This record gives sequence, structure tokens and C-alpha cells, in this order.
Amino acid sequence: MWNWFHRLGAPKSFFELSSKLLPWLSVLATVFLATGAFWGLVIAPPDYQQGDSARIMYVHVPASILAQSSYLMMATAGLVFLVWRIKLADIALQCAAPIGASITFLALVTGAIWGKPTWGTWWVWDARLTSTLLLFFLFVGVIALRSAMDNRDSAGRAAAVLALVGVVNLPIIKYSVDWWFTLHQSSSFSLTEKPAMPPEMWLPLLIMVLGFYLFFFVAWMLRIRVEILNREIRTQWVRDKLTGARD
Amino acid sequence: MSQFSDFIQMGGHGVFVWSCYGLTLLILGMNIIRPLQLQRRLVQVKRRALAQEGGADAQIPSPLSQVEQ
Repeated sequence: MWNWFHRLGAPKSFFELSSKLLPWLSVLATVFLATGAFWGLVIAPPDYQQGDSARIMYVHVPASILAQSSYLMMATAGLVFLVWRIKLADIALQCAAPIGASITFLALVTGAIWGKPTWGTWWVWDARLTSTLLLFFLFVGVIALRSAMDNRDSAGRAAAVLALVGVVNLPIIKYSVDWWFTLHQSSSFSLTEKPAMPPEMWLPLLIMVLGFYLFFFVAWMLRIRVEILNREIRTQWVRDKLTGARD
Repeated sequence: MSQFSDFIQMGGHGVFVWSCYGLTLLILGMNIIRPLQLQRRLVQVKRRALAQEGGADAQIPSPLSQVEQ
């Protein structure tokens, strides 16, 4: 009975909960991103070494942090699906992958664009960059695996296993700048230490990081809702939604 | 590193900075617009399917679905 409730009930309650949360999260995300972008572009001082190109930091660093976090969230959803067989977790994994892939792509490209004026090159095969490229391929792999298999359940399990195996890559990305000699600088931001930059730079950065997270939850919820509608199309509550009020 | 950036500091940075912010806007925006598009399409297709499949059902709505609105 509990299991049945889990399988059928959870997507519906998620759908209803997300209907309430989405407006608030969307407003918050917009406010944070707009504030952070304006602060980073206009108010924050240029770097004494890199000049104005350092403003790329306010999109590159949040994108990179979110790229890794979203992978971790996707893999966690995979673990939950493998262990407890919760359908919503499979949906969450499936929906996190394309967002994660696009954010990792953003981190790579903004990094390349920042690298050009700073290092004099778009790309080097250094440990940080290569492991982030691998992260991108892991996201793409999850998407490809998911769509290559016809049986939804085995596709979900295969994608979850791949996502979990790929978690090994996360500490490699994180410590790559310490383990190997890399062109990429070590992290300028950490939860435990005082930031090495002045507050007029780390404050807008922090706001952007929060804005990126909020954005991710909005985008994730939107995708999950579509997939829930798609999978639950035969259930009465979705039929009622379709025939009744638009949502 | 600093020599190189000192060297080109005089100009040109705007192209790099703005292309990064533009790409960010594009990618974040697409991640919001895409699911909304998909949802609209899904709802349209399924509504049509429901209306056809229902046949008699669709013309005479079941009392249950009316009550549960």
C-alpha cells in the first residue's frame, strides 16, 4: 500500500507543491540574477590584474559550481531511484541531465572566453578543464543512454548507474587544481574559508551563485512537471487537469 | 599571465565579457522556455487525443470529472 502510494501519489503531490512554489522561486531567481549581473557588470571594481575581463567571473564561477552541484543532485536522484524505486526520482534524474549539460557547456565556454584574454588561449588540456569536459560528456551520456533504451525502467536504472559511477569525477574536478600543476587558478570561493577577494567582488558573486541555484530549481521543476504530465497522462487527475482548468 | 592581460587591457575586453553574459542569458532563458513549450504542446496533443478517444465520453462528460473539478 505504501509502495503504491509512493509510485502513484508522489508525482501528483510534487506537481501540486511545485505549482505553489514556482511563482516565488521564479521571482527570487530573477531578482538575484538581475541584481548580481548588474552588480558584477557595473558596480564591482575591475580586477587589478585582469581588468574588466574579470567580470566574466560572475557568470563563469556560478555556472561551474552549479554544473557540479547539479550533477550531484542528478546522481542522488539516481541513487534514490535504484534503492527505493521512487518514480519521481527517475523523473528528476531524467530532467536534471539536459539542464546540467547546458550549464556545464556554459561553464566551459565562458571559461574559454575568459581564458583567451587572461591566459592567451581558449583551451588547454589541463586537469580542471579536461575533467569539466568529462562532466559534460557524462551529462550527455546520461541523456543518450536514457533515450537509447526503449524500456523505461531499465533505461532509468542504466542512467542512474552511469550517473552514480560518474560521481568519481566530482572530486577530481574539485581537487584537480591542487593535485596537478594546472593553468586554472585554485578556487577563489569556499564555504569554509574567508574569500581571498574583497567584499565588493565576492558579494555579487555570492548573489549570482544563489541566483544560479534558484534558476536551476525553477528549470528543474518546470521539466519535471512536463514529464509528470507525460507519464501520468492516463491517470484521472491529469485527465481532470486537461479537461478542466488549464495549469 | 599578468603581462599578457596588461598587454591587452586597453581594449577588447568588452567583447569577451559581453559574449559571456549574452550566452548566459541565452542558455538560462532556453532552459525556462523549452519546458514551457513542451508542456503547451503536450497539453494540446493530449487534449485532442482525449476528445477523439472519448467519443461518446467526451460529448457526455462523466459526472465524476465534473464533481472533481
